[in-house]
Parts: sequence; C-alpha cells; structure tokens
Amino acid sequence: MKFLHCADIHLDSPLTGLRARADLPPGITRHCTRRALAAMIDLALAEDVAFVVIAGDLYDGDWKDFSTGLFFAEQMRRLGRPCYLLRGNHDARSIITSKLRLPDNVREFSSRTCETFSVPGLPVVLHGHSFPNRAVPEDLSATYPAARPGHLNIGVLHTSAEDPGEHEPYAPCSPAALALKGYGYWALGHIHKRRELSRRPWIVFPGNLQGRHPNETGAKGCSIVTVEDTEIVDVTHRAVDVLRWAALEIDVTGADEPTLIARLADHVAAALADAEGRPILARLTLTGRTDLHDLWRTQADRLAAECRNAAIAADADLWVDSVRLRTEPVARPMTGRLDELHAAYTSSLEDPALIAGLLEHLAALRQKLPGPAREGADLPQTEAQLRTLAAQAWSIAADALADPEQP
Amino acid sequence: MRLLRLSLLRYGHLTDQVLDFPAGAALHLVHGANEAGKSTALAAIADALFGFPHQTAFDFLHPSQNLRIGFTLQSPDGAQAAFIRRKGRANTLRNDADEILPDDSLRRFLGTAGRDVFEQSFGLDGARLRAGGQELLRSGGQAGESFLASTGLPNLRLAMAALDERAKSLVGDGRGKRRLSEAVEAWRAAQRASDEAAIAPRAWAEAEAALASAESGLAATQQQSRALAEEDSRLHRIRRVKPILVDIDDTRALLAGLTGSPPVPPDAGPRHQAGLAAAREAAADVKRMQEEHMRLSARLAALTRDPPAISVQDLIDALAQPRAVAVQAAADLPRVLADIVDHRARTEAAIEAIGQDLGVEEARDTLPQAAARSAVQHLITKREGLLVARDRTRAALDAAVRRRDAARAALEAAQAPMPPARLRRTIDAVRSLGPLDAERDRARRAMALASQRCAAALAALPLWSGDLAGLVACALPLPSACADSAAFLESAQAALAQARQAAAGLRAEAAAVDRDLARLAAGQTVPTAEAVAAQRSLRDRVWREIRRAIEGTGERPAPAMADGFEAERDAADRLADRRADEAQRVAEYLAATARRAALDLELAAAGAALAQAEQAEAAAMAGWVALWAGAAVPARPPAVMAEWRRARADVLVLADAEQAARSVLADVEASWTRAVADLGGVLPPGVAADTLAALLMRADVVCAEMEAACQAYQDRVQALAKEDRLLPELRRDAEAAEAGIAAWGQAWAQAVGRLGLPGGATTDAVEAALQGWARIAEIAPVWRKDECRVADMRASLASLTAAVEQVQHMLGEPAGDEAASVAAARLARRLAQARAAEAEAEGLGRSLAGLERDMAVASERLATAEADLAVLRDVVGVDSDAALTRAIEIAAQRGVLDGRLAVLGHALLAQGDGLTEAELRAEAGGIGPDEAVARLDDIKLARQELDGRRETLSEQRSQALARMQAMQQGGLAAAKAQEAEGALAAAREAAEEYARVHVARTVLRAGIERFREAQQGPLLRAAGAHFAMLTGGRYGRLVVDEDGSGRMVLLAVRPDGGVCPMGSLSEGTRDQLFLALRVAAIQGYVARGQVLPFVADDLLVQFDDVRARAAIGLLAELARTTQVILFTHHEHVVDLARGVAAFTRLGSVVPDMFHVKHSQG
Repeated sequence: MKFLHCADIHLDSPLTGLRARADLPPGITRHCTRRALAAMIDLALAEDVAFVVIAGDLYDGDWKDFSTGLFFAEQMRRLGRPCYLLRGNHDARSIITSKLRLPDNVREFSSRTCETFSVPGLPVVLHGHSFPNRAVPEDLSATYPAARPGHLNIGVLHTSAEDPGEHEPYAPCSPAALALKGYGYWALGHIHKRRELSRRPWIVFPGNLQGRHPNETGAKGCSIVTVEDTEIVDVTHRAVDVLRWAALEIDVTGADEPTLIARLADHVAAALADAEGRPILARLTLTGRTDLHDLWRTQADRLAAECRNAAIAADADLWVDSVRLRTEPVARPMTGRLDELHAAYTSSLEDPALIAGLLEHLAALRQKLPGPAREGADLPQTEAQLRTLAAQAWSIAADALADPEQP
Repeated sequence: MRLLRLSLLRYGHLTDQVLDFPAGAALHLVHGANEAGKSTALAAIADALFGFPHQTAFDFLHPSQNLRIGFTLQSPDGAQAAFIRRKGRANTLRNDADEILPDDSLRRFLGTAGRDVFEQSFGLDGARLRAGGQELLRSGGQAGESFLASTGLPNLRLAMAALDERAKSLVGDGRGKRRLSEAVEAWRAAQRASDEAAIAPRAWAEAEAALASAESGLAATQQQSRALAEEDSRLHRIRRVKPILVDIDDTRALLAGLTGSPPVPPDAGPRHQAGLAAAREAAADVKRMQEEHMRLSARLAALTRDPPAISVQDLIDALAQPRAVAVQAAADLPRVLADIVDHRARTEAAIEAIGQDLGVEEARDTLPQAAARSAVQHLITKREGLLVARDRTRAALDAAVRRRDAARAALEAAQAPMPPARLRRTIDAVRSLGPLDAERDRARRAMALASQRCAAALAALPLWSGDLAGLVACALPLPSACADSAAFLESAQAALAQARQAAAGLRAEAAAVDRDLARLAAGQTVPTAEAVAAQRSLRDRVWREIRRAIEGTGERPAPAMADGFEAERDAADRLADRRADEAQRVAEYLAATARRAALDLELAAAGAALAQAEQAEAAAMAGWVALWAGAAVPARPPAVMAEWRRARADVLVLADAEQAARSVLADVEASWTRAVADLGGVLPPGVAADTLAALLMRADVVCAEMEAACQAYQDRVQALAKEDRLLPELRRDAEAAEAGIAAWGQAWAQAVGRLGLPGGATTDAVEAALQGWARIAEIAPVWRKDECRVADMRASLASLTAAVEQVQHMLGEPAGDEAASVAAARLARRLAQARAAEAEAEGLGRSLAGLERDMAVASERLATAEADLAVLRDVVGVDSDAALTRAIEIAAQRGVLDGRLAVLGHALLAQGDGLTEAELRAEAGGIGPDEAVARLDDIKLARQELDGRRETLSEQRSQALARMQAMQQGGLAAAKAQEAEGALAAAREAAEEYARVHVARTVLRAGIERFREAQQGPLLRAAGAHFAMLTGGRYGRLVVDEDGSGRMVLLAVRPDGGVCPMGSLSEGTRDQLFLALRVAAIQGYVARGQVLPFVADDLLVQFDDVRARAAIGLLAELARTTQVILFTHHEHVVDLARGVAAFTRLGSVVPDMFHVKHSQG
C-alpha cells in the first residue's frame, strides 16, 4: 500500500519576485501551482496510492477567488480516493474553505480539537489538528492522542518544528516529542524545503509543491510513502513542479571571456539536467576577482543571452530572471585619471551628515514602495550597507564621467 | 621618465622613421608638414608606452601583426633602456634583442601612471585646448569644474546632469510618470483587476441553483413530448399503410387474369435478343473485310522499288562521315595555306632582328633553349642591381669619408668646455630651498604685521602706561591667590549689602507702624451698648405704632409715620456700626503698639550687624589692594583686574608672535644671503640680480649653456668615433660590389655564346636578339601545326573521291564532273527512297494477311448465332421467331405483377412498424382519414410549444453550465495577481537602481567638493602665476570667489585689483587660462610622482606671437620638471621658439636649447 504526502500547495498564489518580461512565454509562468497540483494527482493515480494527505497551506489565507477552490474540488473528484486535509497558518481563515462543498472523498481535520480518521478498509489511522487561527504559538502535537495499537498511526501537523527561520514560530514542536507519540509517520507541513527530521519514526517535511520564489530552488513535489503491514518501508520524494528555479553561481576568478562563456554553458547544462525537461528560471550570480569586472558590469543582458543560447543549443527552456554581479576587479595600483577623484569620493563617506542624509532619503524611498515590495527591497538601512552600496555605485559615477552621453 | 628615441619601425604609413629626443634638451620641438605623421607619432608614443589597443587604426599599410614601435626611455635615476612594442594579444613588449619582456618592465619608468592619465592629462592639442576654454565659459568658471577639467576630467557637468536625469527617470521629483510610479500604478491596477476577476462563492451557488432548475424543467418537458410522439407515430402509420393495402388488393386481381400461356425459360427473352443481334453483326463484318482486302491489294501492286541501291546500301552509308570531313577540309584549306605564308614572313623579320644569316626553316628548327634565353635575361637584370649597388657603396664611402673629415675638423676646432655639474648642483641645491624671495617677503610682511599688532595691543591695554618689557616683567599675583581674595571680597561686600538691606527694611517697617499708630489714635468715642439699645427701642416703638395703625383701621399709615420709622431705624444702624468700627480700631491700635516695640528691638540688632559687615568689607578690600600692590597697576575690582590680566596675556601672545616672526625673518634672510653667495661663487663674474629668483633664472640659463656646450662637444666626439667605426665596413661593401660586377662579366660571355652571339655583345644587342628568338619561339609551334593540318585535309579529299567512284561503278553509273561530295550526297538520297518503298510494301503484306484471318472468324460467329435461335424455338415449342416473341412477352407481364406484390408486402412491413397485415388492417379500420389529420395538427402544435420550452430550458442549462465551467476554469484572478507581482518586482528594481544612482551622484558631488578643496589652493597659485606669464602680466593672479548664485567660481584678477569672470575674457585668453590650469595640474601630477612626457600638438595655433612666445617659455619652465614635446607644422612657431632663445641671449642661454626635429613623412 502507498499513500501520498504533500503540503504547502498555496494554490493560485503568484510567483514572487518575478518581473514581467517580454521574452518569457506567458504559458511558462501561468497557473504553475494548478498545474503542479494536477501533476500530483496524476502521480497519485499512476502510483495507485490508497489515500492522500495534505498537511496545511492548501490556499493562501487572503486569497478569495472561489475558482481556486472549485479547481481543487475538481482535482479531488479526479483523485477518487480519500484525501485528508489539514489547515495551516495560511489557510486557517480561508474564506474559500468555509464556502466550498468538497467531494465526499475529502475529509478535513477539525480546528477545535485533534481529530482521528480511520482509512476505510485499511489498518491506518490519521490524527490531525487544523490551525484555528493564523497564529498558533503553542505546541499542537501535545494534544494528539496516543497511538492506536495494531494500526499505522499517521500524525498530520502544520508546524515550524524547531526552526522558525525568519518568521515567528508556528505550532512549534520538537522531533523528539513527536517520536514519543509512537506514530509510524509524521506528515508535516509549513517548511518549503524538503526535510526528513527523522527516519525512526519518519518525520517528514515534503517541501512545497511548486517553487514560487527565486530562493526556492531545486526539485519540488511530494512524498510517496510505501507501507507493508503497518510499517513504513520506503519514503521517496517525487518532483511534480512544472517550473524550476535555479541559482547559477559562477566563480569567474581568472577567467577570460571564452572561459566564462564555457562555464556559463556548463552550469546551464547542469541545471537543465537536474530539471528533467522542465522550463527553468535562473538567477545568475558571478563572483570572484576578474580583469573583466568592468566589462561585465555593463553586459548583464549579454550574459543572460549567453545562458539562453546555451539552453537553446540543448533544445531546452531556460531564462535568466536576474543577473547579480558580485565580482571585484583584480587589485592593482591606481593608474587612472579618476583615481584621485575616487579617493575623494571614498573619503566623503566619512561625513556623518552625508551618511545620515542618504539613509534618511532611502528610508523615504522605501516608504514610496507598496507594502509588499518593501520587505524584499535591497535598499540600505544601515551605515555598513550604505557604504557597501556606495562602493558599488562608484562604477555608475565612473561610467558617467567616462561617457556622459550614454543612457 | 623621459622619452629619448621613438622609432616608428612599422606603424601607420610610416616605416623605419626615427625621432630622437636628446637627453640634454629640455624642450623638444618636432616640426613637420601636414600629413607628415605628427598625429601618427603622437599616437605611437601612447601605444608604445601602454600597448596597442585591441583594435588599431594604424594597420592600413602594415598588417596588424607586423606593427612595431621602438622606443628608448630614461628613468628618473638616469638609467636607460630600449624596447620594442608589437601588436598582439600577449608578449608584446621586447627588448632591442627581440627578447620577450614582462609587461611590468616599464613600471620603473612609468610609475603608477596609466594610459588614460597620459592621454587625458599629459596630452593636449589645439582642439582640446579650445574645448577646455569653451567649457570654462559654459560652466562660468565654476571652481570644481575648472580644476577637474584641468586635470583631465572635462565631463563633470555633463556627467552630473546625466546622473540627475537618470535618477529622475527612475523616481523623479513627483511630476510626471517615472519608472517607480508607473510600476506602482501598474501594481495597483493589477490588484484591482485581480479583485474584480475573483469569483465569489455566492456566484457559484447561484449558478448551481440555475442549473438544477433548468434540468428539472427539461425532464418534465421530455415526458410530455414522449406521449405526444407516440400518438403522432400511430396516426402517421395508419396514414402510411392504408394506400399499400389498396395496392395489394388491385395486384392480386390482375394476376388472376393471366392464365393459359406456354412456359418460357426465365432467360428466354435475353437469349432470343442476343441470338438475333449476333447473327446481324457477324454478317456485316464479313462484308466490310472483303472490301478492305481488295483496296490493299491494289495499293501493293502500284509501289516503285530500287533493288540495286539496296544491294550497295552499306557502301553508300559509309560515305557519310568522310564526306563531312572532306567538306570541312575544302573550306579550311585556303585559310591555313595563307597562315603558313604569314608565319614565314614573320620569321624572316625576326631573323633580321637576331642579326644572323639563317633560313626561315633553319631559324625555326634551331631555336635556342628557353633556359639559355632566360639565363641571359636574368644576367641583364642582375647587371642593373650590381651597378646600383656599386654606385651606392661608392657614394656611401665617399660621404662617410667626408663626414669623418668634417667631424675631425669640427672636433679639432672646438675646445673642451667647462663642466656644468657644480653649477647645476648649486642651482638644484638653491632651488631645493624653495622660493626664498617670496618667503623673505612673506617673513618681512609677517614681521611688520606682528609688530604692528603687538604695538597696537600694548597701547590699548588699560591701566598700563609702561613699555612692553615692563609689562612682561611686572609681577602679578598668582591667579589662585587672586581668586581667593576676590571671592573673600565679594563675600564681604555681599554680606554688607545684605545687612544694609535688612536695616533699611526694618526702618521702613517702623515708619509704617508709626503712621498706623497715629491714624488709629485719632478715633472717636466708642458708643456704649446702652446707647445702641436705646436707639433700637425708639425704632421699635415707631414700628409698633405703624403696625397698630395698619391692623386697627386697615388703612395705610400716614407718610410721616413711615419717615419717622426710617429715620429711627437708620440712626440705630449707624450707631451699631460705629460701635463695631471703633472696637476694631482699638484692637488694631493695640496690635500696632506691640509691633512697634518689637521693631525697636530688631532695629538695634540690625545696626550692630551692619557695623560688623562694614568692618569685614573694609578688611577684605584692604587685602585685595595689598595683593596687587607689587604689580605696578592700581587695584580695581576683581572683574576689572581679571579682564586686564586676559588683555595682558593677549599682548604677550602677540609679543611672542612678533618674536617668532623676527626669528623666521632672520632665518630666511640668512638662507637667502647664503643662497645668493653660493650662486655668486659658481657663476661667472658680472652675473647678478636683485632677486634670488632672477639670479636663479640667469643661473639656469648659464647652466643650460654650459650643458649644451658640453653636450655639443660630446656629440662631436661621438660623431667622429661613429664615422671611424663605419668606414671599414663601407670599404668592404664597395669592394664586394666591384667583385660582383667582374663575376657577372664571365657569366655573361658564356650565356650569350649559347645564343650564338659573341662574348662581347652589348646588352642592347643581346636584348634585341632575345626578342627575335622570342618571336620565333612563339611562331614555330603554330607553323608546324598548320603544315600538318594541310596534309591531313588533302588526304581526306582524295579518299572520298575514290570511295564515290567505287559505288558509282557498282551501280553502273558513269563517272562525270560531279564533285565527290556532291555525288555522295545524291547517292545517299537515292538509298533513302529505296528503303522507304521496301518498308511500305512489307507493311501492306502484313495487313492483307490479318484481314484474311478476321474474315474466317466472322463467318464462324454467324453460324453459331443461327444455331442458338433454333434451340430456343424448340424449347418453347414454337416454330417461328414471331411466336417465340409473343410467348416471352406474356411471361414477362406475370413476372412484373408477382414482383409488385412482393414489393407491396415489403412496404407494408416497413411502414407498419412490425405489425402484421391483419393488425394493420384492424388499426386502420378504427379511425377515419379526416379525423386522423385533425388530431395530427393538434399534436404538432402541442409539440412545437414543448420544443420552444425545451429550447429555453436548454439554453438556461447551457448558460449555467458554461458559467460553472468558467468558474471552475477560473484562474484569471491568479493571472492578474501574477501581473501584480511582476509590477512589484519592477517597482523594487526601479527603487534599487535609483538608490544606486542617487548614492552615486550624491557621494560623487561630495567627493568633487572635497577634491576641489584639496586641490584648489596649490593649483590656484601655480595656475595664477602661469596665467600671468602667458598674458604678459595683463592678469596678475587667479582667485576663487562666490558668485551671485552662491557658486564658487574662478576669476581672473588684473594688477589693479579688478576681477574678470570667464565671460569677460576673450576666447584666446580663456584658452591660455585653460593651458595655465593644465600646466599647473601636470606639475601637481609630477609632484605626486607621476612623471610622464607632456606631449602637445599644434597647441599655439590660436595664440598671437607675444603669447605664443610666452607659452613656449611656460612650456620651457615645465620642461624643468618633466619632458615636454611640442609638435607643430607652423614655421613661425619654430621661429618663435628660437626667438625665445634669442631673448635669453641677454643671459647666457645655450643656442640649441630647443631641439628642432624635422620629421620626414
């Protein structure tokens, strides 16, 4: 017998941090989460799983398009076998869930208490407690019942476990405490990167179903769990994402132009091999010291085009979402006519009033951004950050001095 | 670093061009005409020092990979090295032995300077000078711009404007749409669109309800429609089967009438018809073939045939190919014979040129070998080169001998000059002391100013009438003692003031109490209680009278009674009030009396305290005065004395400053005097000046003269040595050239002998013979070929004639005058006609045989058909074809009726919906035709109504389904949300880019300000002096001041103090100002260790002669610290340079101060 464990589908939520681009076919980025869910249902049918477990965050809480729920219901009808659904922090208060009439094969865990479901015809029970609110600071697993003897006990829980990351903890718990429950499998959700906290018993975050941000790189999907006689014998991660995010980080130290192009092609080829035919959105980052620092500084578009060419040569789809140049010029004695002005430029940063004025100006600029854009905006907020930016910005000043006519 | 030699080995249009820049010359003037290569040489200097750029414009003559520049450099420490720079990706730097050098081999010469510094700061041409002057005008002389432009950063204003514009395009100033605001607006629009596209749960519920309603309505409609359809079907069946039943009855009746005819086989009709047709067709065929046989037989008999021609047809065919060759030979033969005549004539002409007695065929057949002719031709060519080499070596040797003699004579005529090293060391040592003239003047002014300030401060010092020495010597009390005494005095004075204030307060209060006592003592007698009661009794009595009057009579009392009551009442009240007032007065009097007694006691105590405070204050004052008694100044209050002490300290500080200035002046004076003495000790007598700077300038001139003289003497020595070294080699070259000519003579004799010419034949004669032989060599092969062709053509003609005669003989034809080719053609035509007749006869024979076979077949078919007809008549039992035809027709009618009956049975089965004939007859009998039609109309109307209703319901259901499907499909809101995310990303990106640009422009602006502040002072002073020099003193200096807009701008100051902004300077003067700034900037670079040659190209085109001369002087001044190379194509600039030298003749300038070089382009 097999069952499928997934979480953090965030159905119909957009890809964040992705700027609209003319060269990117709309079909690549449209309905990614829907297509990933459909692929997951295809996988469930192909693997003939006995049931499916969704461990929270099916929707985004503030998402109110009812068609999202209808699509989910349609997929559940297509699944045609039991699905056990838990609400997480993102869909605790979802208005879709409260109004949607789901097919009979979908069972939703209560948000008032820990609820136990028996899988018809199988010696399997599932225990779960949906999030009653967006914020759950207490350990919900403490209220889960003891394991039912003679059954495979599956705990379904949405939790940040012991690692809240950059956010507040959600239903924090410890793997040791979960292990003490005596369950055979803990189906967790909330962490978007796949993790296996334990294999005895199995405590698994399957990760989210579809990467939605440049930082959510690598294969995304669900876990196929194989059971024999109420014992877990195998847990396999299966990718169902339809669009892959990749981070191409290339050290260009000592590389001349042909070498860099060759390295680009190698990294692109590796990313394409990992993606197994899926289209890729890549973030390209160049690091290291190079004589070509000044050259590449103005040729981000060309670098992106080289990556795209390498993908086209491999008959695959890859687009570069953004190019980040973290290179530094090779240290050498000052020889240019701008050197003395550069020294004055640098020394002017010793003026506290200048620093304060710039920080104040940039803070006002941050306030001009819409709220959702402020968090990820790379705008200096400290003096150290400002100094780093100013050092990078010298190249802009130098370019303008060299050729003021250029745009 | 100095550039000593530039060798343009292969560069641009130049090859092996060398420019020398001798180390002894301060200023180098390179003169060349337009397109001589000045600009090329300028570019070559940069390429040589810093390497070729990736793409060069100087590879149009020499291939890129062959470009070479040689150059020799001298480092500041005097070391020299020669290099070669080539174009390439790597290993471009070589030494003069062409060994690869590392790229940093030039570091010791170039220091940290880069190509852009060299090109932007150490290079200047007329166009950039003018552009610099115009930029000064555009910027209004804004200080930062001016100084930065002078250092090679001319784009500052444009750069800042570009950055501002870029920042504005991203965020802007709130006006207009910018990238950030556009992205934010796009985000808002996408958010709104997403909200609008989102599907609400209520919409889904409504769609579900609509679908259910439509589906239930459709089900009911379907049921009604089914019932009507059943009835409609039954009525239509009745109407369909009734006519069929009638037809069945009619057919059965007709069959009953066809009885008694003989039986006929089923295929009798077709067999009868086929037999008749076959008999007719076979008879017609036999007749037609007989007629065709007769026609072909007649045509065969009429044919004309030629058997003799056929018998010799192979021979006639064999004539065709030789006939074509013979025809062509007959046509070509005259022309080839004419060509042979021409060959002979041309050969005879060539034999005349050769000059030998030869027949034409002999000449053709004895043609010398091509190798022999080529060898002679080669020797002729080689002879020219050998003669040129001999002449060149002879000329070089003669010239070298002349140069050697001249160099020796020049060296012998010259005297060894005095070495200038000591004078140079002294000049350098004195110059290293700095501008002592200015320092001495400055020290004198500082000394005068300090003295003036000190004297003024002393005169203004209060309480002091003595001199400065007395002031310095006067013994002041210690500040701590002063502070203690002052504090004590101030405390005593404060206590005294307090005691005085207390006593005065008590006295004032006592006086006030005395005044109160006097007022209180002046009161009246106090009314007794009895007096008050008596008065109140009177009042009450009057009131009772009034009351009685009112109560007894009920009338109003008389007015007199009321007046009396009021008078008594008021009197009683006044008496009571006065009693109370007096009682209060008496009480106050008693209190004041007590207070006055107490005040007397306090006044006594205050008087004692005051006396004590006065004694203490007097004692403190005495102590204060005693403290200042030894200071020779009268003691004043502590505050005044503290101020005097500070003023004295200020005077002493000024005195110290005066003393320091005096000391500095003494040091500077001593240095100045020593420097003058040092210079005087090494200068020739008579060289003197008022100032050290003038003396230094004259010393420089003298030293330069001595250095130039030494250099000239050394040049002469080196020139003689060089010529002595060259002479032996030149002699060897001349001898080698002569030997080459002798060897050539021997080879010549042998070579011309192989042509049959004498060994002494001249080259002209040999060349003529060579041309003759060459012509014969061209003619001979053609001539031989033509002769072969004539023989071949004649043989072809003879062969054809013989063959034709043989054929004619076999045919029996007589041989006539007819040409062989014509006769061959005629025979070919005859053979063709004979072959055609034979072919036609053969075809006619084959056709006749075929016709005879077909006629036999047709006769057989006719017999067979007639036999078949006889068999059929026997079967039917008739004896004629007419009877047979009648029997067949009756059998056919019966078969038609049987078939119709079967068709009607099938139709009844098909139209009766599976019912039997009996059931159908029973059903049809239950209703009349008209009744059925009426009922069908009703059913039709009812079904139409149901159809309309079903359409409506179906539409409703489709709409509901479509709506639900669209909702399930959905996703538009998500797509819009994705668009919103894209807009957010764009906004974030715009903000981040703006942050970079804004930080760049803000910090750059601050950096420029710092740069200006740091560089302005020294640069301004130096540039001011240069500008004064360039303008001949019309402008004295430069200043930076604030203009009306608050900008710091550069101003020129005239000697009379008037200031001139940039706009008031002429265009040429602005050019000179820019040159002054640039020279000052270069001096700054040099001071910071970046010593490169300053290379100027046609810099003085726009200068008048006076200022051009001054500019040359300025460049000569600059050349003291760094090498200066001036390119020009103007002769007058050269003259002006010499003019400056003439000017310096007043001193003792070396005449060849300027190394004038004429490049040869």
